[in-house]
Amino acid sequence: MSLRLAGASVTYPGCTEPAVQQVDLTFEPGTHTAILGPNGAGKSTILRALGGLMPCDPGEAVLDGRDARSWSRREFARRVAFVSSAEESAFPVRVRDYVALGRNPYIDGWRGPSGADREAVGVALARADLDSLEARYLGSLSAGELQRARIARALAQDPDIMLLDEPTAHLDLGHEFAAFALLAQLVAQLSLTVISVTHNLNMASRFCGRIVLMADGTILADGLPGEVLTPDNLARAFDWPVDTMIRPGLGIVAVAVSPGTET
Amino acid sequence: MLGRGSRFVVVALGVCFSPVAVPDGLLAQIAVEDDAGRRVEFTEPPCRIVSLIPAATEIVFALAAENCLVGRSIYDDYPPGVESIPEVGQAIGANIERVLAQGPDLVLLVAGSDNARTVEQFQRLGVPSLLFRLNRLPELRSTIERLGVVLGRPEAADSLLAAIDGQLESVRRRTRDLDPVTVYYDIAYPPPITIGAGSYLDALLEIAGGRNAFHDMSAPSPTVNLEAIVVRDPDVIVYPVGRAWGGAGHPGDRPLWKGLRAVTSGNVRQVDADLLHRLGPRVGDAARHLAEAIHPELAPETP
Amino acid sequence: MRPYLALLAFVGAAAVTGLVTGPAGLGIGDLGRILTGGGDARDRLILLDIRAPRVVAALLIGAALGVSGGLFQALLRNPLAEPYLLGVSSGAALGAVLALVTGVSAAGGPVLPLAALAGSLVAIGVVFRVARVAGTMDTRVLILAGVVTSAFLSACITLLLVLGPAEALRSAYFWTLGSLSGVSWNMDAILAIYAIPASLLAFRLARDLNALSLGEEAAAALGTNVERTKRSAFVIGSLLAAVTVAAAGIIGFVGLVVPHGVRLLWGGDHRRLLPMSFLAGGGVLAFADAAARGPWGAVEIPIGVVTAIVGVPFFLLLLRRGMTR
Repeated sequence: MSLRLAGASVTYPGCTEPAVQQVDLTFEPGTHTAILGPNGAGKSTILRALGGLMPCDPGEAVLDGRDARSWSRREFARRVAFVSSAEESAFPVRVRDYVALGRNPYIDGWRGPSGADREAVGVALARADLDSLEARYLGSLSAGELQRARIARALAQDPDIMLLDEPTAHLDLGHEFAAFALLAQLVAQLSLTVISVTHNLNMASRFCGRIVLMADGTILADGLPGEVLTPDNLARAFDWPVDTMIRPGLGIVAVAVSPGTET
Repeated sequence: MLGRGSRFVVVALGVCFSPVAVPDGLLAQIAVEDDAGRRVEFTEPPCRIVSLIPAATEIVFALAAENCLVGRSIYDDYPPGVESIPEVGQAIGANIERVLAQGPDLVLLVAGSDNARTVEQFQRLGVPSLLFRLNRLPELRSTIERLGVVLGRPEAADSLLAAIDGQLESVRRRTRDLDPVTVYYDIAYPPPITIGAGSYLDALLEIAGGRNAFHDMSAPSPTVNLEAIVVRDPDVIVYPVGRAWGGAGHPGDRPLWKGLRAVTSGNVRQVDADLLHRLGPRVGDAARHLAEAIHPELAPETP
Repeated sequence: MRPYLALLAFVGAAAVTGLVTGPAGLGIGDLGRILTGGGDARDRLILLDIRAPRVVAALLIGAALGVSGGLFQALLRNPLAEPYLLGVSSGAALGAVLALVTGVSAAGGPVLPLAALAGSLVAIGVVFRVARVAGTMDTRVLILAGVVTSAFLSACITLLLVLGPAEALRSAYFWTLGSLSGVSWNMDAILAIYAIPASLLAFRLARDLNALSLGEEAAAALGTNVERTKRSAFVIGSLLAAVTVAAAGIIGFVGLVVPHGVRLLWGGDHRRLLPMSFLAGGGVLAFADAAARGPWGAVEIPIGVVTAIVGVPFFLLLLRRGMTR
């Protein structure tokens, strides 16, 4: 199940300039790709275009060889799961009921959840290590637990592809590491395609096999972390002098250089 | 007067008053206490009166003092001749300017919290005012008496009262030997609103040889429900219609009312709201009208 | 299953209470006798033509308000939303007051309810139109448009009443307080025809409403047709509310308290919340109607007053319980 953007431009309503220009990107199964770049570069826009949540004009998102628009929303949702870090429930909801919402694309009209649905929810909870928390209310979880719940919700959709918008925002070092590690585990075990938008260059280089660096609505670089995360690329993208080091076992660590300091 | 009467909060004390007349003819001093407990004095009878009480206007005419009226409310419609008196606006929440434009030396107002601010303003401007409450028959009597004192015509007031008493007594006599009928007085619908013991119409019904179906309710115009009406099973239903009173339609036209005995036996009578809904000098006529409405066997009397 | 059984028992108790309450003093024994064909004509008239239609109307109107409230709370993602928020009640009130002030409604019959219904539909239409931003329904604009429209309509109503005849004032006042007096079996039939199919349609929206509670983007990502869901919730919720206002005036608080209470007691899954609000709303209003009629002898308290006076303490109790989460 491949997902790609073909010559896609996305313009927000009311804007004259497109947020994203003529982007071509292809994603293969069993990979974890990080989309990096400064604010306003178009990272989240790309993610939403991939998820069929924003229309492309011109160009299109293509899932499994078919234009995303030709998929019914429910069929699409069975293949592609989208999670934003701001996802919250307006009303109090228990963790297991929240995760069970991930089965919506599979349940029809009047029918209730089937045995398969319940099993999928249980498996998702187990994978995200939430078994002990399933009866708790979402509002009572810590930020880290909440993020795991969101991932579980996406897992319950039984997707081939997961799109994550800043999955580790608001998480401290330890929890951030744990979240990326979990994603890496899922990619390996389930052959998922994961595409994350993140600001954490270090985690991305450590855990993601592919980096797409963006700026100003276009792709600056696309490839292995070592190829993409060069001081030159980073400086161009972030408009800020950035130095990098390679630490064995930790991947590429980027160090921001303050003006006036000699490298 | 009916509807307004039911909204007022009763504040004043009793209805006692004390006319003081100095017989030597030196300074004929007139003093009267109104229904807000205020004592107002005049050195001589005022003769530039603005009346914002329709019943009081009728009383002034009945006391042959209509030449002393310089203003009336828009609701004053009786007796004929009242149109020649300039109209100065609403009875409640009066237009102070229009009232003052008539240069009054006395303003008559309906007692109650609705007029509190108006009274205050007149007081500040130095215009004497008297507040009267006209919800029950005794209040009508005392209002006539006091207006008689104020206008310097106590004997006319006494003979008016005697005439009214005579009319009421005549109605009582005519209906004394008839079977009392239970009456439902249809004030409004929906929801069903009728009269209670707090309304003078309840007393009029009794004089007219009838019994108010909801006499046990103390409020002047309580809201009731259809089931209670069915249980009390009135003999007659009267519904008021008038020039200024739209009414609520013929009760027999209401779907669920068709089963009431009064409706099936054809005892639904229209009554004159213009006459009945004002407690004033015509109350004797009102009682007679009511009696003839609820006792069809009574031959109508020309007043 | 247990909550449904409890709610059905609640509804049954409310219906029976409504049937045995009233100045005529008919008790359960009389109830049985009359239902099996006995009893004298007067008792039959009272039970079958006066009380029974009211009880059925209360059940249907309460049910409609409960479902409508649940729909609006889901649409606006706000547990404080209620059916009258978006202009339904002020529109209906304006329609009714216009009919009262112009004297058109003096003819009786369906004029007043139809005028109220027309008024509410116009108000709903205006709010719906205003909230359509770039082809989609913006719920924040919806709330603002509803509140502002209501304020405008209320001002129009006050103006009409000030300039109009005195009786219109009294009639309008009582109308706005809500009343089930004078309800007939015809009215019940009309209510049933509107409220039951509309509620069933609402139940079908449950899963999508659950998704919507996570936000519009998340719901779309879960396969929900967000615009269609919002439109359906708005239209069904508004029509349910409009029909109740046309039939019985403005009965406040039920549409807010019932779905919220059900949510606090049994959770926010709309597959249960909506049907349970249907039952709970009906039971609550039937009890309220009995309370409005019952112990006060001949006097009848407007039903909107009962729902507020009883509803508020009960709701505060539920809130306290809900706060411990």
